[in-house]
Amino acid sequence: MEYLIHIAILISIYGILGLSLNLVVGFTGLLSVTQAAFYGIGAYVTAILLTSTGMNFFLAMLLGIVITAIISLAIGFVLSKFKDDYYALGSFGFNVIIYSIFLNWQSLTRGPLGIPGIPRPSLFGFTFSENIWFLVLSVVILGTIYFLCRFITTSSFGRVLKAIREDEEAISVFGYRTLWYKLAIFVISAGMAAVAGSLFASYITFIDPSSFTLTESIFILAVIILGGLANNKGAVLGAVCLILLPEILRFVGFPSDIAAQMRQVTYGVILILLMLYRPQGLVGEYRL
Amino acid sequence: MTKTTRIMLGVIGIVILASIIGILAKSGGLLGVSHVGQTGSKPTVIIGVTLPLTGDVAMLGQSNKNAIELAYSQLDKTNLKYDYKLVFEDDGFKPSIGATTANKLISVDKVDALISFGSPVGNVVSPIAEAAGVPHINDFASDPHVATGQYNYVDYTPASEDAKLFVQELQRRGINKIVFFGQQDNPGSAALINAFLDGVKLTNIQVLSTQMIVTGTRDFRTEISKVKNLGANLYVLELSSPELETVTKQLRTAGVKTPVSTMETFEFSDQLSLFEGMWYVNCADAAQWFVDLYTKTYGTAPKFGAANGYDTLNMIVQSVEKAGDGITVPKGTEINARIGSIKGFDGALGTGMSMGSDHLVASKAVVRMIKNGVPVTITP
Amino acid sequence: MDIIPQLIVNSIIAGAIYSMVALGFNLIYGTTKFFDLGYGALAAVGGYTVFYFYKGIGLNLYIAIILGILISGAIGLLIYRLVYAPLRARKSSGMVLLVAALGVMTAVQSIVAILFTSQFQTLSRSAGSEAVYNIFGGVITQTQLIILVLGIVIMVAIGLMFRYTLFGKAIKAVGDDEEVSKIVGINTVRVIGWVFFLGSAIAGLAGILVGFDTGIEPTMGLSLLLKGVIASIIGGIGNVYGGVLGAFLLGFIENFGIWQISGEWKDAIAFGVLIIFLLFRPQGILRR
Repeated sequence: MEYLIHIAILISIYGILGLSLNLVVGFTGLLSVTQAAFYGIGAYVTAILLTSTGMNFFLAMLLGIVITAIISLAIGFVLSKFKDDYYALGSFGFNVIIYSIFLNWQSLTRGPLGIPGIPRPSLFGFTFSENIWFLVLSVVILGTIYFLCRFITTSSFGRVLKAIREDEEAISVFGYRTLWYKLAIFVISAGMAAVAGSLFASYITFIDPSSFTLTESIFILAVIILGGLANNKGAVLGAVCLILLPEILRFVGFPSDIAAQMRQVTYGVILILLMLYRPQGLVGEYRL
Repeated sequence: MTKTTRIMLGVIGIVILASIIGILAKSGGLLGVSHVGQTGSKPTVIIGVTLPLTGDVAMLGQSNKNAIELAYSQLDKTNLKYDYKLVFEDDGFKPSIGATTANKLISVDKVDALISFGSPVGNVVSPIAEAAGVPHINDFASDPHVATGQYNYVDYTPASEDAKLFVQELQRRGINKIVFFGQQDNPGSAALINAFLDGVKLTNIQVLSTQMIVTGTRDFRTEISKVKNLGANLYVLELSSPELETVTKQLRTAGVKTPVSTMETFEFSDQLSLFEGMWYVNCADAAQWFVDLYTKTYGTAPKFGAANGYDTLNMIVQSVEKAGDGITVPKGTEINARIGSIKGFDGALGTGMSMGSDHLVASKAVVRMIKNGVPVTITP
Repeated sequence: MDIIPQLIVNSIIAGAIYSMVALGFNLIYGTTKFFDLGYGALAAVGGYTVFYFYKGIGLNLYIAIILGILISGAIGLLIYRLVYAPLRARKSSGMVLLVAALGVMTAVQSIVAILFTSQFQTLSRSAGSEAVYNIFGGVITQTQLIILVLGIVIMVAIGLMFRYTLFGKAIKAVGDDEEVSKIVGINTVRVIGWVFFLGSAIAGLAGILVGFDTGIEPTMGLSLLLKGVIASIIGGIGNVYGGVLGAFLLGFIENFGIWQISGEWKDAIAFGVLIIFLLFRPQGILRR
């Protein structure tokens, strides 16, 4: 049971990450591969505040969102100069740079030793120490983010984003300052990733830089590509599939030393097959 | 939208069905075979192990697994009160996967005790084991924080022990100018260097430079150029394989003849000939009988940390045997009480070992040297 | 400042390795206009083929190397036929190809790891007894000298091919405008197939040479490739000489950078340079 709860919590966290990235990649058409950096900043800010000042979790999460938003504003500004492949490559670069900072700013992050003993959230004297309650909290936050995303994508703001995706020049002819729209959605998306980071840090109780690498960003991208771009349900569906897939393979009974490599092969082949036969993902509404 | 919904429901349905079948098949619900001891008469104690079988340290994880299986095969099965079953899971040395494997072992396999490997995963497993009341021993953690709580233990030489002996040996040999090579993203390397810097404060030993490199780098020529002419009389390499061998080769290629040394890392290597004639400090020494037994069984020498795995399994088995009556499997608290009070334990890492009140098994570091391609202990 | 000559030599060695990767990558990008991440994994294929034939079976060194080059080329061609050609025929966007390439890379790497384990291996049979040359106080080994020379030879060969052979001109034509090339009677699928074969063979050679210099592992491709891509972009993407120029420039920036800063920032420096170039000179130093 604890195992299923654990998997469900992971799905919620990756669901939030998928939803957040989908706003940028699916709805706005910007191929960003740096979501793990924002996820990591949220996690580190929360972890550092909780362990060093004993601040309330929700306040720490809020500060995490603010700090991530400021950093993502700067990164988004630079990235907004690029297009398509170059956008992806530039965002790769920012992920590598932020990862290096997690690793090398040892006085703050303890580098490779990581930050252990991160406490669980508490609210009005109630502590979410039991995993089942933590799951409830994660699902509530996932739901909130889901409805937030739905609100954003169905609003007039969301329609401008889709227009940017389809034809940026055309929409700017109508007098829309596309830069501001792109920046706004990038920052909102990063803030949501920071929420996932706060949850992750406080759930796992230990973080180190290895959880926020480029590979992690690619994984989050795979979540939405599999689930379906520009579809909020698809983002959550992708998280369900990609978190459960390795767990199912765990029970298939490969020898454990090649099981992990088989997972990677499966994951690679799925990406290839999707691109060949269903580039919009399972339930997507937009093709890359 | 109806099509979308249909696809979603379909996929979720398939996935859930597959997971249920998987879990049932694994727990014996469908086939009804597992969880029954080999003889069928004694209750079965399940011991879960999470360690890296893939990734950068897969070699060490595999060696640790071999040693645990070796200890298992040596158990005196007829005279023990219980049957034992081992379940291994691969965590790739990644904390987030470690959380998954630990949860799976505890709630699906219903393990009675847990073994984990290394500080990052250990730090994640500890709170999970604590909450579930499952005794947990980490056999490869240099970070004592892993032993926080009532149910968590570490059976590994602490970094401070290595550092203390290393400083002593440097003073004895009159070495006072050293250069460090460390691995920025490796917790073991960071812990050892920090412990050394703490231990060296009141001595005349100077650390001329510390060069930190990142796992995956293969070109260290510029780092070497930076320290080549500082006049060090020893290079200390806190690196894992293959960075360790690569740095050593590139040092020699650059014409540096100065000896190299290490705390703990040389025995990561499968090219010991590179370090011929060099002394170094290692975590507690594996007894010769263990090295022979392991080598005979697996055809290669044990990697370091393997003896810790061997001992850890035996410690758990002994504790379970003491705690139980042979009719029912003892509870976590009962096993835990026995692990906490281990005294006079004889194993591959020495005799008369005991569990400290800090939940650490105190094993001593040793000075060794590579002679004719083989590690030899030169001080007791 | 007796460190300077060695730093210059170090930069040239690093540049030589990057240039090998950049050459093949640039050839493929110049013709097909997409970021072939799968290209990185072919370096590992080359390295491991030689490992198998030379150290495993005990074949003659030169035959093993030729086999390594041919097999990586053939696998590159196979991947093109199976994955990229259908996608390109369907006019998929660069991002679809990028994601598919990511899948190829993941799958190939893991298959190599299943076949040969993920352990680091060296290709040279005699460790540490290599001939060493002293140039103005800097040290360079025989293998590194071979890498340097081969890099220049391949660059000149490709340059000559573009200038003087019909095949080279066909490649250029396809790179300039695929549609027009088709109309004038060039069999574009076949030409691009050959480009993939050649590019992948160069990747294989790069993997083999790196294997003799330091060693091989299944995941060696990604970091090599990323450096090759950065080199191509700063030198001038799609330009044969530009890639090599960029490779040496990157070698110098990295090595002089970590002389002043510290080694753990090497990747961050490389990506920082990439972002600066993308911002201020996205076409690179030499235009195509």
